[in-house]
Amino acid sequence: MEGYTASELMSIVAMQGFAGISLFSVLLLMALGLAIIFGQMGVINMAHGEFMTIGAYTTFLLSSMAGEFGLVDYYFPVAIIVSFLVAFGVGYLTEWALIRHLYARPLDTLLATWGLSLMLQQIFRTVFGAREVSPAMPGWLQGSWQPTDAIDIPINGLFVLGLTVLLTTAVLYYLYKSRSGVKMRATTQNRMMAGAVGINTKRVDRFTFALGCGIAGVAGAAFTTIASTGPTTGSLYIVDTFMVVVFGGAASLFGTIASAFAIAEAQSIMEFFMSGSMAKVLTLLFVVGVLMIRPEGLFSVKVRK
Amino acid sequence: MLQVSDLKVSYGQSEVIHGIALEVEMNETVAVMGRNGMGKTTLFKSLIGALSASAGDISLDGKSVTSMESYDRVKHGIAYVPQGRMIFPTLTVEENIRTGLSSTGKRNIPEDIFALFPVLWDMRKRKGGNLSGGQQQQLAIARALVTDPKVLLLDEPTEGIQPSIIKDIANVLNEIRKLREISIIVSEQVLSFTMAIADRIIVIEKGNFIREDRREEVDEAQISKYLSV
Ligand SMILES: Nc1ncnc2c1ncn2[C@@H]1O[C@H](COP(=O)(O)OP(=O)(O)OP(=O)(O)O)[C@@H](O)[C@H]1O
Ligand SMILES: [Mg+2]
Repeated sequence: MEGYTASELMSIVAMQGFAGISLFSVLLLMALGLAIIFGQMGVINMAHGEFMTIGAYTTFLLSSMAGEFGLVDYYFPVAIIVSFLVAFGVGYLTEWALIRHLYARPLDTLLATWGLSLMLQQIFRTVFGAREVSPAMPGWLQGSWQPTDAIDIPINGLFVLGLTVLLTTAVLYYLYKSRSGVKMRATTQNRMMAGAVGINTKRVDRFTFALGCGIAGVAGAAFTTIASTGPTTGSLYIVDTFMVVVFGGAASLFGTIASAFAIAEAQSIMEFFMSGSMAKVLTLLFVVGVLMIRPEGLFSVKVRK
Repeated sequence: MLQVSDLKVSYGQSEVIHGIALEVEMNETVAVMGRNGMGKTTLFKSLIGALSASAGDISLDGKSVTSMESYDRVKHGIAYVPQGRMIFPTLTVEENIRTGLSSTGKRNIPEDIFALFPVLWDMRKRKGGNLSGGQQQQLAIARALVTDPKVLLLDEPTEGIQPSIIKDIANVLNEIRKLREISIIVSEQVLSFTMAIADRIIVIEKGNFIREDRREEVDEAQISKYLSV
């Protein structure tokens, strides 16, 4: 890092920090969905990345449609909602057709969802082709905001951050303040007992799985603003997402937020000074180091058992 | 109110409950007493549907619930307070009680619950896992009561609880009987507790009911013999 003055370093960190916010947003949304599903049902959804891809392709399709009617400036908010609904629906079907038959068999769900992810990738390839696609960006999402001469903050990053904050707040509110959130958390903690106090745990499961997938769909819509989408886009993000969940502590949503932030920012800032893969290796080493000291992740809830 | 006939329950190949019959009247309290490992918990779990019966029938008000899942049995009027309480540790006291409301569609916790268990009102914002054992037991009973049960199942409610609190729990159960139309089935090893609440005392041994007395006719010395090792 020699050759930079202190103020240059500050600007670099600030700029890369803001660039990392897009990555943070996508990772957080992905991890949120994955963590909810894992926490609730003990299912590791290997196809989670593909649900993100579903959201991204949905956004692409809507943008093509909007292009024909000259509505490119307006379609994006609609695309976010439709992406959620499509991914939610596919998730709901997946739980019904596949996952519910495999509860209490973690290895089988791992294999089954991995198979599903390959199938979905092939479907994407057949329908959309192997080439990457990008939806048309509305004008208001382009360009950047320059608070000072040295700092350049992309608008799309700010938008995606806003979206993520909104959705995360909504999910937290749902989990911690709503009546169905109580049912969900009760089922997470003790499935047998939840049934024995009158909660239909199978219905809660199906909804939870679909909700996690729907959030991944929104992550996909957000993703289109920072990169182009191909059939394997989702699988590129799934490893980072697992890292976020494990690092944050699978039981703690606040841990997930902190961990997504730490990992995305560390990668983004380090990428300025070294190659992308070197930054990844350093991040991974750091995560492994922390997990050796705190195997339960950064945060864990403390109560008497 | 509740009829159980020829109930058999197995873990894999090994049958633990061997054809039990039981009839409980409305407003009656029945105690099932037996030593460790005699099948009390297994019986209760099969009544609430956490374990499925391999044979026999369980009916509530003439309607068979044998093939229903737990949540559906709760809806039909069976409530369960498990051995070891099993409250939801990271949910607050209030949220724990709320979980029981899902089967009734009610929005708010009825006030009489906090009248019965004032300590739960004081602690309503605390996490269930941070309550003492006796408080958790009260919470587990409250959680079961808000489902508006016709039959309340209590599996060893006095386990690990000090004598003065055991008396409180007996008083609360008697109070509940006065306030509501409810039948109670309780499993126990503490005879003084069941003598304070039960109308009938049944002894279970190795998965069979081997003895049954009305409370007035109980010979405490004889029942104690079945309970000691
Ligand atoms: N999950 C299980 N798998 C196999 N056998 C079991 C299981 N749970 C209990 N058993 C067996 O079933 C029998 C009855 O156990 P149960 O827990 O019903 O007894 P209990 O009367 O409730 O005892 P305690 O007073 O210790 O609670 C015991 O022999 C026990 O070993
Ligand atoms: Mg027991």
